[in-house]
Amino acid sequence: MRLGPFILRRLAISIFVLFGLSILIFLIARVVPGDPARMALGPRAPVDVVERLRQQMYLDKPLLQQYGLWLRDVVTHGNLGDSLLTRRPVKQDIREFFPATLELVGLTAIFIIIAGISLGVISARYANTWVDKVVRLFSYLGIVTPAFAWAVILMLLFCFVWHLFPSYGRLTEGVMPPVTITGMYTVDSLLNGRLDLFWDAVVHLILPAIALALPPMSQAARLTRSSMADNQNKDYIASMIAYGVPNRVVTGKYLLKPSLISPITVMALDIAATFGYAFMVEKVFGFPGLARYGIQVMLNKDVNAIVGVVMVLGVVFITLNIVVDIIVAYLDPRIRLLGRSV
Amino acid sequence: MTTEGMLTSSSLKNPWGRTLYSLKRTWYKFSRNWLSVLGLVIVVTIVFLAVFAPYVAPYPQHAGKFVDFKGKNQPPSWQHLMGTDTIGRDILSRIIFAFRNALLMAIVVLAVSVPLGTLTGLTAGYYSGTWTDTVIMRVTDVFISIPPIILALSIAAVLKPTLMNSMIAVTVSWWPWYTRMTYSLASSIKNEYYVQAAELTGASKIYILFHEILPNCSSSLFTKMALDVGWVTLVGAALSFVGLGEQPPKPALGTMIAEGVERMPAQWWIALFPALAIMFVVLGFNLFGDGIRDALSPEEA
Amino acid sequence: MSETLLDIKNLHVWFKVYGGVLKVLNGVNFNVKFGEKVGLVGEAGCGKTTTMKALLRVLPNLALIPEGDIFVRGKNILKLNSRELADLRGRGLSMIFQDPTSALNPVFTIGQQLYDIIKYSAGSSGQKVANKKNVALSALYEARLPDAERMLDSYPIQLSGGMRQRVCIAFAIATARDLLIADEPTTNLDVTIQDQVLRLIRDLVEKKGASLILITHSLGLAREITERVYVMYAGNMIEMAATSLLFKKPFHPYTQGLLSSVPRLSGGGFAEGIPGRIPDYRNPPPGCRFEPRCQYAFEPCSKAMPPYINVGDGHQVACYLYQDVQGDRKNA
Repeated sequence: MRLGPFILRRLAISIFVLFGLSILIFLIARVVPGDPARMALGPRAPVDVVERLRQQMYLDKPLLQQYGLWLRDVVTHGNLGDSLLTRRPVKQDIREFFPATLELVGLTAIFIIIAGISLGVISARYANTWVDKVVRLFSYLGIVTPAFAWAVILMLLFCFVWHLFPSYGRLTEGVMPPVTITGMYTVDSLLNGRLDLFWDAVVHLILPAIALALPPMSQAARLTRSSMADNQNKDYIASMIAYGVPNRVVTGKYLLKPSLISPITVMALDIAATFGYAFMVEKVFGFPGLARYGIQVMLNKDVNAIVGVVMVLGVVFITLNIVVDIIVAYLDPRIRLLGRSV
Repeated sequence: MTTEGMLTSSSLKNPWGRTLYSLKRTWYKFSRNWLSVLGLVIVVTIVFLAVFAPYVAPYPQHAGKFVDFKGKNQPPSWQHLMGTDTIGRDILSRIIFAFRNALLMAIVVLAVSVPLGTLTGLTAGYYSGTWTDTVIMRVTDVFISIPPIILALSIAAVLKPTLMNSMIAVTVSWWPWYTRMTYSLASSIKNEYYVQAAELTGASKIYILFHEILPNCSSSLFTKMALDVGWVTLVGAALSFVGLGEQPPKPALGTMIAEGVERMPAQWWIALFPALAIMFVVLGFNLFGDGIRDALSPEEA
Repeated sequence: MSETLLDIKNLHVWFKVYGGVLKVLNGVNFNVKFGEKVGLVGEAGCGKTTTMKALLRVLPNLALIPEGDIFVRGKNILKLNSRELADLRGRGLSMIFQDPTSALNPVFTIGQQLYDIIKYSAGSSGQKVANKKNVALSALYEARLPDAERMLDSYPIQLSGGMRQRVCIAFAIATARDLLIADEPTTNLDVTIQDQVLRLIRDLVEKKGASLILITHSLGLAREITERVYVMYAGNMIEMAATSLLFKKPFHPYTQGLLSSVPRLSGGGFAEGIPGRIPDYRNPPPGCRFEPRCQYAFEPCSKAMPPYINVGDGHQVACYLYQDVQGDRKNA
């Protein structure tokens, strides 16, 4: 099938998955022992106040109906209820914290893609020379060191030993954030025309992004290299060389394209996983993002907020999956045409 | 007719000789890379430390309820090779005991998720294209669309924070990856001639699944399992970093790092050593897993 | 000799593997004249493809050439610099591989791959090739592929096996080349297609005046298409003759065994195979490599590889059985 129907099919499946996810998280949230309304109001609230809140939260209705009502609220108003912790609508919390993490993961993704593929190609091009060995050693260390370990190491080195980078927050203390358009300080400051703010925001993002990017980047480099090494001996490469196509063209075009398929898939998974590891790095760097918020609400059994965070993340991942599927389908016509790889 | 089939030395005529030969050859392939051997050494060290923790750790009692405010926040010294934490406990000993829990978690998680994932993957792969396949894989998709760490966090967050619950959480997030891997392997293997031959001769489905298809997945499976020990430890540390999982005063690598982060940079050793310890575990199992992959992979013609 | 296009002399190729070295090619001598159609016959694993890959200089990384030379149009190609090599590849040689599916890059269209081949066929002279599309279309047309325009935009996955092989042939003939190497071009195809593809190859080679090396394990094919045949066994050329001569009177015990193992339509019972297997390349026999399987083996056979012996009319055999025939000259 062609690209169009392929995308539609993926979308349809994704919506199904999204439903499944919402059911899953809804059930988990409702199954939590304890009465959410009671927990929200505290042990000393009078019974009738608790009862009123329970009604508001549809807790007295059968489970299926609860789900339906909750779903309706979410879809029509984007109303995810109020956070027990911050006492604000969850929607507002998310709107404040999500862009921060999005920025962070975005910069991380850029690092991963650019550095990962470049290192992999370099490593493959100079295979078995010292260049290759150095890159492989470095990428190995990158893979086995978890992001938060890098965060600790990087912070020690670059914030305290050499005072190059700030170690806390999204902006320097006392600096006003740019006018909110997207919520992402980097983008907004550019849109505002404030280069100084842009630089400040970036500087606060660099270390956490590097920490998060190192393991997946190393993985991508390794995969690209091994993918290229595997395809190097294929007949179609030998054929091109035998026909006189120059090495740089063969490597840069005919070897690279089929070799990128598996690294890109893995990179996408890793970028999605970064949202998870982001919380640890956010905690180390005091970065107020969704991940940190998510952890706090989870620890506090803030049911609405938990559901909200998980759903937002679910949408992000599913979107990411679709984007990757599209990219891979573009790269590999076999998938596009057959619906599967060979 | 490859040259591999030509070995006619008498050692191969009996089954023991063959086993010994293939073991020797596997070891040869494994040990060709010194890194894999290093991985093996690290893995053995970790296992040894975990198993014999009470006898090996310099201050085994520090791993439990222990408080010594006089000795708190000591930097690394000869008495405490990795220093002490905020309530005076020896960090090295706590790390050794933390390895125990880490390995335990890895074993439990893998012991459940590998069989579960493999079975579902095999079934879905063998019956690929039918309803069985669709149902199994769609369910798996729901789990897979979320990175394991996030799923594990979510589940652990809504349950009471104990070691058992965090193990459950990680297991639930882990098994779909085995399903997916086995699924893609099984669905391509099932088209191989030897499988079709087995079907034609009337072998039962169970036989085909376990004697024809599964052995051909085994090298990928073992490699992934070895690597996963490291990754499960990592996810477990992430969980305990946040306070899910093993509760204080029992030592857990993630908890120790969390405590240490608060004290940065002044008492840097409290965060750094547990972080290095996790690196050590992940590194060891990664090198080991890579070695297993090299050792089990078929040779090029 | 000016009419010799290709001359391989005493070529040794080793592969580094687990536990040692595979000494696959053991002093191969092979030559092809301009416009000649030569067959290379041998069983699976005897080194035919390795020889060709060495010729094209596309051996895998773990291969090494400890000894031997390959001359193309008089130049030793093992010693070429990259510019000269580019020239050679752009104009000299082309190869059709055994498995057309793996010979075509799955993520590029036929057109994209063909254009690049045409573009770079000028070698180091950097000349622009005018009108690549026309050249491409005519190549596809000559390879008897239907709907050439659409073919250019198709991906290999969309084509059948026979069509893919024809595309590979189109690649080979798209630009003028002196030598076409066809490595078991029809093995993976249906019987009905095999005939078409072979005829196509033969017709094109004759039309363009190019030389052909046809590698096959099928004696019948070699007999039909070629003028001269080499028989290869375990890394050595053990017999070479004009095709008709070889089939009429094979000299080497191995060739005799091969021919007698072909079942005859005219009856006569079951064919006999040749007992034994090809040797272990890690520890090959020190003398003639066929010696362990040879029913006529005698004293000199296990000592050293026999030289080529001319048994008349350009027919050469590497076998001690004939060492008294016309003296033992090792031939170039």
